[in-house]
Amino acid sequence: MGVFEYVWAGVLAVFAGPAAFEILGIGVPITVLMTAAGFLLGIIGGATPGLAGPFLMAVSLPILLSVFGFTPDALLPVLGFLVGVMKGATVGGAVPAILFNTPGTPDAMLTTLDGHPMARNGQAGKALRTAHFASVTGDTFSDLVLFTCAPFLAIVVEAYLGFGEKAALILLSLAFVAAVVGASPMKGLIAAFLGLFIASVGTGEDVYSRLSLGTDTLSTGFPLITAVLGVLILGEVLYSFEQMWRNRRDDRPAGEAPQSGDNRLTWGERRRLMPFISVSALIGTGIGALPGIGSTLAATLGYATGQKMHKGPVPFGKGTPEGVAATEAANSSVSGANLIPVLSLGIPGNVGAVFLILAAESIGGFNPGPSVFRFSTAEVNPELVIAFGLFTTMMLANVLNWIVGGHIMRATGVMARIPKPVLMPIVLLLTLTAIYVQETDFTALYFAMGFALLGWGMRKLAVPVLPFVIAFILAGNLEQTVRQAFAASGGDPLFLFKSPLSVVFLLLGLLVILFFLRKPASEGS
Amino acid sequence: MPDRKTELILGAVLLLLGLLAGAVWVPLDSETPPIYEFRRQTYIGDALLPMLAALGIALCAAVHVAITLLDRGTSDRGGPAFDRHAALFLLSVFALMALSGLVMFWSGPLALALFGPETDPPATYRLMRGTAPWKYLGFSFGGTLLVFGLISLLEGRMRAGRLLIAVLAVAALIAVFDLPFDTLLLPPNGDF
Amino acid sequence: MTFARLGTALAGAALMLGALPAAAQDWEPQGPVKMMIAFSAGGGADTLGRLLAEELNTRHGWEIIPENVTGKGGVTMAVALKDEPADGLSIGISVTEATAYAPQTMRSPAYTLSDFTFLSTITGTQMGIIAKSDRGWSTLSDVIAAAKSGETITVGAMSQKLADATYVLAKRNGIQFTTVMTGGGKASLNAVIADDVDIGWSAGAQTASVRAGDVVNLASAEAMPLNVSPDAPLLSVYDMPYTFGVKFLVMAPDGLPAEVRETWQARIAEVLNDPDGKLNAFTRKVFSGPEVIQGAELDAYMQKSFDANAELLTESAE
Repeated sequence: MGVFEYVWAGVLAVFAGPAAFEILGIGVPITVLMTAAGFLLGIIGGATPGLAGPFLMAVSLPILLSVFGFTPDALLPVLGFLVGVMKGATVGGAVPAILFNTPGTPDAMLTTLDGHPMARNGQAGKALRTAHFASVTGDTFSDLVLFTCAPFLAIVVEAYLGFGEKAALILLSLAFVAAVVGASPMKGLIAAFLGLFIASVGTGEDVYSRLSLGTDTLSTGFPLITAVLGVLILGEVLYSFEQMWRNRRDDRPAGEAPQSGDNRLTWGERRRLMPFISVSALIGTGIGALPGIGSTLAATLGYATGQKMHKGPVPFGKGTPEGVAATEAANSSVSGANLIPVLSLGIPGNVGAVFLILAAESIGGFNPGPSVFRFSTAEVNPELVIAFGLFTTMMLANVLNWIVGGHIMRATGVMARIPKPVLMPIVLLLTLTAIYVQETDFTALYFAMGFALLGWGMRKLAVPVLPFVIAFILAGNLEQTVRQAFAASGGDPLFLFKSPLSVVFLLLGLLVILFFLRKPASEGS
Repeated sequence: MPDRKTELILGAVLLLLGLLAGAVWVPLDSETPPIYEFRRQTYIGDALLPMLAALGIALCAAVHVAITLLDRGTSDRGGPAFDRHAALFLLSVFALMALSGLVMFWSGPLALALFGPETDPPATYRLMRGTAPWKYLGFSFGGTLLVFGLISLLEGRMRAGRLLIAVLAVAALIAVFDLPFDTLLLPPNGDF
Repeated sequence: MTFARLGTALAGAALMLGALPAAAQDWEPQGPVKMMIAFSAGGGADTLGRLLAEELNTRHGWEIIPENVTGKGGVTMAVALKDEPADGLSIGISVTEATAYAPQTMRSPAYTLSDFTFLSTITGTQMGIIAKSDRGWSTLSDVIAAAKSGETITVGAMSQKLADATYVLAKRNGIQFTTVMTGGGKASLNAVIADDVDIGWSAGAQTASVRAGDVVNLASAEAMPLNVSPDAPLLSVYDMPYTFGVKFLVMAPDGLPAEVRETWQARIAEVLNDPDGKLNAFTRKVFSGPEVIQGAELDAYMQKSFDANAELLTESAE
């Protein structure tokens, strides 16, 4: 099969796959249906303060696994749904930010600066339309970059990198994530090392389970889903519990201002927004391709750049559409590019990618990494078909977003009225139940609460959780690659420094840490 | 942001724990040392990764302490991270969770022992864990208690409406996880 | 209630009473069955287990709940299964090596063969030693010649047993190999294709690539020639008295009542031997086809594997 046959096979896997049901004799493919459902859920969830994309992905993953099982047929519907959630949440996050000055997702923080003043001036509709237009443009651009870059990068990696270089590359990515995520690179590194340490409990190659203290409970190690959901989701839930518990009062969102102003977004206005959107999309895509730097930084940079470019009558921060567009285009264009390191290297750089990896690992049959992009001609490489299928679902979600995203978005303002003290306990029970049906063991719930406590403590102490999670996920891979590199070198103690490329990777990792260490901690936050 | 004192304590504790884990726990609790020879080939043993990780924690903690000591400008960035309120909060949340867990685990078997069908030999919960209504009891009681308890804790008062919401939420979860699937077990049914 | 209906009801009750003795013999699970699969989702063992569960459900309405209890080549699952009640409501899907090899490598074995009731084998691997076609090697003899001429040969092995095998194979042929541990499943094949190792062990994942001509089977590590490469020499040609094929099997804790064991055996055989069944088709597509070894024959087979592994371990420990 040639390249185009593979792309076509991927498209067909989505549109000609098994049908969910028929309307007037035409089957609705299950993957298309799931992508649309995920997208809808994503917008609604994104518009609900406290939920956001990662929450929704985390909670829906175990349900999806139960629905679709563990066969290769399950991959595209499940990944499509998660992609849909990711994209939906990105646009949905702007809704409460604009209407109520409470960002639904952290990266919509800067959207409040101009979006909410616009709403107060009676231009909520215009602000929402601007946010949607900028978001979907940035997102689509970013996806196109992903589709073109990931395969080439993967092929280069597979062709030129041996065990040693791959190990060095994982170390570089971990160092990078640890250094850039939090306020202090040392705390990031501590989190990453802690992730590696905890991941090594009960694993390894020997028959005795290391660090298990001789107990059966620890000898199987910590289940991946339990650890990730515990630290990432339950830790956040616990943290928000404490916030609510400390100020036990209803912080209801501010009322909506009467809407009377100009709420349309004409094609001329869209054209005038394009310079801001393009620059922000470039910034967001560039930042997204690097592991660990979230959309918040992209939004900040996009906003700051837009501010410098702006010469209009209404300044940034006083309610100008350019401000909304610059922010939303930047934070939305992160998500596509974020998948470049996942698909080409198998290294997840952000939370959304973490859940795609979790899904692929749980279902099996698709291992994100360079070996996916093997364009074998004599036999079909099923993983490559899945990869192009995944790209197709992303494009499908974008098309949905262009057509109906804006309408759904404007209807979700009501979500911000759900009181958080009611929502979060339900999210807790939902997450615990989801973990239990996967593990069918109360021990998993104890572990989950243990990890929740860890995640809560880390948040209290301003130790970033993302390096922990990514290190936990990559630990097995890293250890195996290092062992292989060492064995293949014949036991050379300098095995990681034998090729110029791995030396470059390791030096880069060190430089990144030193660079961010020099920066005063107060600036980083 | 935690204040300077918290940062120093955090660094010191992690330094100590990292050293202890790396130098004592890991070597004593893994089968193969960091590097070993076996059949004329040198291998990396199971101890290497956790040892490096633990020593890495210690090293970074030491650097963190040093930086914090040198950086005098940012001494008062906020209150302490953990105070009496945090302890009280954790205590009440975890007490509630433990209670809900107990109720969730034992409601089913207890109800079966008290009100179960009279058969000989008496039906065990293991056999009935896939049968309604027994399989729903633990999750319903435990789940409702957890959700309603937490809402009340967070809002600082009990409201009948919230109890209704908790019951509905649990019913919705049962509808999502149990009704469509034969192969899923609600908590605590997998443990029997 | 009319008399006619009462009559039917009584007849039904009489039938049920009459059927009671037979029901005691033909044991059926009275509740959900926990199926512990020793390997991760999406792999060969996982698919075998889930297909078996699915077919038992459609044929007999048995409610089987598969879960993956993974780690250490099946040891984790065996440890968990050992402590489950022996009532036929907890079974495990694993490979022969998990009980016939692994406990012999532990300083204090966590279990022995006698801790389990072995219900049935499902199918076997197509274990071969593979290399990329463009290396120009056609049998293991070419690799041994290359090693003798001073070339360093790295070998990808998926398990500790295959690392032992690599060592013994090299020793018996007067050469030295460098062993690189790869993960299970396709990992060894991927390492060979990416030129990360020179040759590798592969349990059947190589079949499609061999057909496509990208990869060759240099030797068969099974007792018989490989289905896809009948000309690949057996390891006995290279002075190896051992074989390294692995069988997938269904097991339960020790002490299973006889009627429970018989029901399980009959039901598994029925599913496996149905040529139109999904499980049967899958074993033929990826593995050696359905293999139903049960009862005393299976116990003897396990003991024989156990003893052969003991010899391999003694030799590789020298």
